[in-house]
Amino acid sequence: MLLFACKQTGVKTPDISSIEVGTQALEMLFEKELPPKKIFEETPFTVLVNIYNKGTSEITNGVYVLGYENQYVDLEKNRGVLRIEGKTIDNPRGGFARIQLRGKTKSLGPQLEGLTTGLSFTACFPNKTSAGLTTCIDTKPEEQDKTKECKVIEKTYTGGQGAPITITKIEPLMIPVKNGVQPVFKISIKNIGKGQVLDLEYSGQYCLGRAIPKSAYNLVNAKVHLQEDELDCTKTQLKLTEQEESIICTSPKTFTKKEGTFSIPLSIELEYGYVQTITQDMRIESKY
Amino acid sequence: MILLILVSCTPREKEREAPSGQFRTGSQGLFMRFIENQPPFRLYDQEQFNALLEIENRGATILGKPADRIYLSGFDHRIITGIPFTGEAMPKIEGKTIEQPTTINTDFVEFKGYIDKLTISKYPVKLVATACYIYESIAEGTLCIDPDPFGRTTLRKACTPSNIGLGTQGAPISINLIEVEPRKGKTLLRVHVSNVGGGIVFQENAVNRCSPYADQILSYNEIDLVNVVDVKIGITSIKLSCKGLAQNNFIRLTGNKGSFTCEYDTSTEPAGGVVVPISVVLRYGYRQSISKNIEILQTPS
Repeated sequence: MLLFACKQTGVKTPDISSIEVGTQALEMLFEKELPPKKIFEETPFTVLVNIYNKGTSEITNGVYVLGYENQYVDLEKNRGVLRIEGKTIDNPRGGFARIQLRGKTKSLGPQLEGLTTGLSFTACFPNKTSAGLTTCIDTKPEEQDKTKECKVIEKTYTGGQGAPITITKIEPLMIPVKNGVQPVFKISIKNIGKGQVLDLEYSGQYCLGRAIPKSAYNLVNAKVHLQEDELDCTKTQLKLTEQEESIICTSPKTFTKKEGTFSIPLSIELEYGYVQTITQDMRIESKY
Repeated sequence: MILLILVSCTPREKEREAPSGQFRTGSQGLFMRFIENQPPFRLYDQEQFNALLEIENRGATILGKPADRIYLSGFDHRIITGIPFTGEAMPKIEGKTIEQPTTINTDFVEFKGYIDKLTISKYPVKLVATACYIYESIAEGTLCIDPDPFGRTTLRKACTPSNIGLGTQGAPISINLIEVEPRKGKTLLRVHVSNVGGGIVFQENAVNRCSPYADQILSYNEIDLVNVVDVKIGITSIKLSCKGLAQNNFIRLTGNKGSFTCEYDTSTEPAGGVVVPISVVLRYGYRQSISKNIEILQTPS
């Protein structure tokens, strides 16, 4: 009698860390030949845009608009609402949406043999960078012990956290206080993505064609928590430039020596409006 | 022709060997390890937490004195709750003895807790188990005493004084060498001590500050201090003659090594030399830790 032991092939537990990476928000692509690269005047055409949400933030109040030159092209409808799920443990590739728009080229008139016009598809949406990181609390920084539970060291992050505005560095400091420490963190942030950052309030308005004040560009709202305690930060709203920008956040809670040395979650939430655009040229040829 | 050879064999009762006395060997006192999967490498929040440690006494001194404790640290106690800051008492575990020189006794220490809801998706932790205990090192050997090593005599000497290599004594602090320098009327002994256990040695009175949760850290005048309990030649204690001791009692280790010197008055010993037993007893606190990396994941909603 032969007994066969059946070994169940290992069920792979989804790895959260593989989802909360990357520096993209949306990836947008025109479907091949939709719109066509060449088309005759007075001819209907379809625009098909495939949108992949490569970030972790779910897009719920997004708006899209297809920009076109009114004298050469007519569209039935050129804007709408955008909703796409982000990357999750159940859907690690992220959500997908397909936008279909119909239009028609206009007459070029007797004098033109052809011309090239541009179509630009823009998505405007509120976005979020949610970084769940860990840092070290060392209540006895004066104790030099190689076997300590963790080390208070500067950490750099290169892969992003699943959004175009990324946390690039965290520098922790344990400020000595009576019988313990008060943690302080310098958090560096940068726009790695290719889109435009806007104040959250104005994200939808950009696609509606309304005027956006200069001061609304590149603004990011920041909130930082150490476990469940919100930290007091030097700024709750940052103005991003091409360089890294930093905020300094202090824990309102002090940690006593009796709490030892340990790892603790540090959650950083950045909220902002984001605008991404793709363009395609279309050559309109005269029929005659 | 069949040759039948009957051989009757009666099993001889195995002669009971006399104890060799060689039970004080090895460079470890306590050895501990996490039992596999206790805890597992990956856990989810809102679940029970269990850590189980196996403790072995690989040395020759009893473990589990009142001050001996094991602590679990490295994590936020608001996330893994129910783990005491005061640690768990170390169970009483006998060391190796003359009757059982190779027996290693073991016991277990368990930490039970609960993992609260996570605010982030993944919480990696370096779980550290720290043992704080009081231990003894006892080195025993024989020493040749020559009261007049350079004198002209026709007497045939019983022995020649020489250094004593002692190896390890079933403890993390070892008395590895006694240098013997015979002089007329006295013999100088330089005792060399090393920390071979890989952990941190400290003055035994400071054992409360060994804990990773202690209010105060072990200070520089507590770390690397080993109490010289006694140095005996035969039944005579020569501890009072010892020099190079901090506070008259402690060897200070530097770079895990230290030494001190004692003197033995040999003026009353026989002229031809004599072999005598020597013993050195040290007592100290010891801290050693092991770690295990785990990660706690947020339960998908």
